[in-house]
Amino acid sequence: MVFSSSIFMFGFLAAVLTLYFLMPKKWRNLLLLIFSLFFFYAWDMPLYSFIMIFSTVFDYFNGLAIGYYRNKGNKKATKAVLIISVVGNLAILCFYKYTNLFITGINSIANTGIPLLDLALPIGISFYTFQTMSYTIDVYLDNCSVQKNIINFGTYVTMFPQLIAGPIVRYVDVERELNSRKETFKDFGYGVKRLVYGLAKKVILANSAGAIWDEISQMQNPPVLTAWIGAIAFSFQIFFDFSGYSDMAIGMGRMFGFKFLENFNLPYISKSITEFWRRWHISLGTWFKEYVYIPLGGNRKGLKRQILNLLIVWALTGFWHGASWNYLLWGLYFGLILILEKLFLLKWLQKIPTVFSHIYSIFLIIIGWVIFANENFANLFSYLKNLFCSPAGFSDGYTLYLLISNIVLWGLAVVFSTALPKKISEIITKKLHICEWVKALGLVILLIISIAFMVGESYNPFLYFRF
Amino acid sequence: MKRKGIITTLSFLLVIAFFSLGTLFTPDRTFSDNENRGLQTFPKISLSGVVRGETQSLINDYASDQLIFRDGLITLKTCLQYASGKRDIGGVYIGKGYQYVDKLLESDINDTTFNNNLSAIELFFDSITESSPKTNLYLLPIPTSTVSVGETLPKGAQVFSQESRIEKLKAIQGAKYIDVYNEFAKAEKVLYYKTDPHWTNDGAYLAYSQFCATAKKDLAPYDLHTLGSDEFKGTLYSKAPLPYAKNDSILLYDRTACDNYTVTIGQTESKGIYKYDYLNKKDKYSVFLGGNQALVTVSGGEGKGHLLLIRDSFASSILPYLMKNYESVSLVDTRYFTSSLKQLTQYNKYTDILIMLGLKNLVEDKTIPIILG
Repeated sequence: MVFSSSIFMFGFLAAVLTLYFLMPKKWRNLLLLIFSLFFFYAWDMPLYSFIMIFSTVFDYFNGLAIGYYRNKGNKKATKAVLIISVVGNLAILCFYKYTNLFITGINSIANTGIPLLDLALPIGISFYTFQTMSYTIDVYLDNCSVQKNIINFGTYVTMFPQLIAGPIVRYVDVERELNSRKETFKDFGYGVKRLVYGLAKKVILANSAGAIWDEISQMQNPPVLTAWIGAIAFSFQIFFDFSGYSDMAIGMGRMFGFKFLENFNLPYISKSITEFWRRWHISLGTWFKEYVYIPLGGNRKGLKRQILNLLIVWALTGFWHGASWNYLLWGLYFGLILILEKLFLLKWLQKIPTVFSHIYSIFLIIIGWVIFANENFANLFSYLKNLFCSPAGFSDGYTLYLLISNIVLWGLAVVFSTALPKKISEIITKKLHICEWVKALGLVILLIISIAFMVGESYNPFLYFRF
Repeated sequence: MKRKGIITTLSFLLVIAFFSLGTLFTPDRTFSDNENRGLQTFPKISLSGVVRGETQSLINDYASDQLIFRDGLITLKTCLQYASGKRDIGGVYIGKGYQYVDKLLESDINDTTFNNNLSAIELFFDSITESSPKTNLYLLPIPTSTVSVGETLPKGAQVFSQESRIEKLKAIQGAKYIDVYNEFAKAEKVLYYKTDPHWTNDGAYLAYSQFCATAKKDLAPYDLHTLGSDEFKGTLYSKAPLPYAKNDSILLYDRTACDNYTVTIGQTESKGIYKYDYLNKKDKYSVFLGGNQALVTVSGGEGKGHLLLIRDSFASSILPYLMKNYESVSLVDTRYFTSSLKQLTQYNKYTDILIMLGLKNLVEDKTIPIILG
C-alpha cells in the first residue's frame, strides 16, 4: 500500500489507529504485526509476504541461537550463526533483486540465451533484510539483548511505518520501545505534524516536480537551461518524495510511541559531499558505516586500505539503490568525490568563501541525480551532454514558460530545502505565542489541500465516451 | 503537559474519520460525468481474487473513486495550481480568457505513426481511383485549435508543430485537398470551443464552405441555426475544472429537417440525428448523433448521391450541413471501426469519399492503416 492513497489514509490508517488505542497495551504489538503483515504488506503482493515471514522467523531464531551459543561460551558457533544470517538475508535479497541483471550480464558476455526470471521485486526487501541483519549483527556484537518474544521481534520487522521505504530502523534504536512504550497526546500530536508535512511534501512538491522532470526527460534534445531545469526538478522530486515518506514514517511511528531517528537533515544546504552524506538517507549511511565500513577496518588500517574500504562501501551503497549499472556508477561517483575530499578537497573548501562550497556541492549533487535518474547509458550521456552544450541552444520560449509558470513550486521547493521554515516557525511560536488551535487549524488546512492533490493523481478523464 | 497535543490529535482524527466514514456511508457513484468514465464500486471479494491481489487493487480504486467530495477536491487542487501561476494542468493549457488548449508537445508525437497514416491515405486513394474511377475523392485535415486561438496560449507555451504536417497532407496525391488551415488562420469568428477540443458550429460551417467551394457544391444557408445549449463545458475543461471557466454554446442546424433523417446503425433504424437527451447531461457535444459509433448511415438528405465520410468526432457536427448536399452519408469512425473499409467500398458505390480527420488523430491513431488497407 502506498502512503499517499485514499485506501491507506482512510482505510488502513483509520482502522489501525482505532483498534490500536482501543486495545489493551499487551496486545498492541500483536495488532501492529497482524495489520502490518496482512493488511499493509500482503495487500499488494499477497504471496510475497511469506518471504518476509521467513526472513523474520529466520533471524528470530538466529538471534536466539547466537545468545544460546554465547552463553555456552562457543564463540565459533556464534560467528557461524552470524554468517548464516548475513548470507541467508543477502541471498534472498540478491536472488530477487539482482538475478536478472546477472543473467543479462552473462548473456551479453558469453552470448548465451538464458531466459530472465519472471519475478516481481518483493516490496521493501532492500529495507527489511537490512533491518533483520542489523539485529543479528548487533546481537553478535552484544549491542543489544536477544529478543525472546517472537511477536515483539515480528513487530520490529514488519511495522508498517518504515517497512516499505525506510528509515532503516536499527533494532538497538527501538529495543526499549518494543518491550515497553508510552503513547501520549504530545507524541501523537507531534506525529500528526510530521505525517501531514510528509504527505504535503510528497503529493504537492514531489509529484509536481516529478511531472516536470517526466516531461523534460522525454525531450530528445532540450536546450541547456531546460536540461538544467529538468535535473533540478528531479533533484527536488527525489528529495521531497523520499524525505516526505520518511516524515510520514517517523510521524506514524511516533503516534504509536516509537521514536525513529531522522533520515534527512536538509541535505541540500551541504557545503561538501562529505556533509551531504551525513544529511541524506542517514539511516542507510549509518548502516553501511556500522556494518560494512567499520568491520572492514574503516580508517584504522592506513590510507590505502581506507580508500579501498570507501570504494567498496560506495559501490555497495550505489548498487543497493537498484539493479542497474548506473546506480553502481552513481555510488562510485560519490565514493571518488568523498575520497578526494578526504585527501585534500575539504581543506580547500574551508579556505574559500562558503557560497562557493554551496555551489560546488549543489552542482555535484545534481550531476549525481542525473546519473541516478537515467538507467539507460545512452540517455544518460545524451542528457549530460545537453547540460553543457545542446543542439537546441541555450534556451527557448518553453524554457521561460517552465520557469515562470512554475515559479511558486520553485520557490516553495527552495524554501523547504532550507532551515528557513523551521526558523520562521520558531519565531512565530516564541514571539507570537500561537496557541495550539491555530497550529491545528493550519495542519488541517494543509491536510485537506494534500488530500486534494492526492486525489488528483487518480483523476483520469477519458476523452472518448465509455471506451 | 497532558493537554498539549490533544487538540491536534482530535482535529486530525476528525478529518480522517470524516473522509473515512463519509466515503463508506455515502452511496457509491457509478459514473463520473466530469471524467466521462465509470467509477469503481465496492468489488466482490473472492479468495482467488485476494490471492492474486486483484480484489485489493479494485478496493484501492474504489477508495479513491468514491472518496467523498472527490470532484470538489479536484476543483480545489486545480484552483490552487491556477492561482499559483501554473497554466498547464491535467494535460491542458489554460490560456487567456480561460481558453483551454490540448497540451500536445512535439516530444509526445511519434512521426512514424503519422508517416504510416500518410502512406495509408495515399494508397487508399490509389486503390479507389482504380476500382471506382467515377468516385470523387477529398481530403480535409482539421487543424487543432491553436490555428485560431494560438495567441491566447501562455507565453512560451509549446504545442506540436501543425504547419509542417499540414504541408505533408497537402502533398498527398490522388484526391482534392480542402484547405481549412489557412481559412481558419484568417477568420475572425470563434471557431473552437473554449472548453472542448472540437470546432464550434462556425468552425464546422467554415470548413463546410471550403468543402463546397472545392467540390463545387451548393452552400447550405447559414441562418438555419438555433440554440441547443449555452451551458456546454467540454472535455478539456474536465481535465482541469475551474469554477470560473466560461460556458460554450452549441447551436443546432435546421432541427426540422434533421429530426426527419433516418439513422441506421447496424440493424437498428431511428429518426433524427440530434439526440436531445445529451443537452441535459454533461457531454453535450454528443447531441450530434449520440456520440461515437463505428459505422452510421444517415439517409433522407436533400441532395443527391452518397457520401462515405471517414472521420473522427469532428464530423458529427458538420453532418447537418452535408445532408443538404447528399441523399445519404455513411460515417466511419477510424477509432472504433475495426476492420478494413474494403467491405464497404466493394459493395457500395459512393459518389464521393471524404477523409476528414483532426490533426491530433492523424498523428496519434495507429488504426488508420488497417481501416484504409
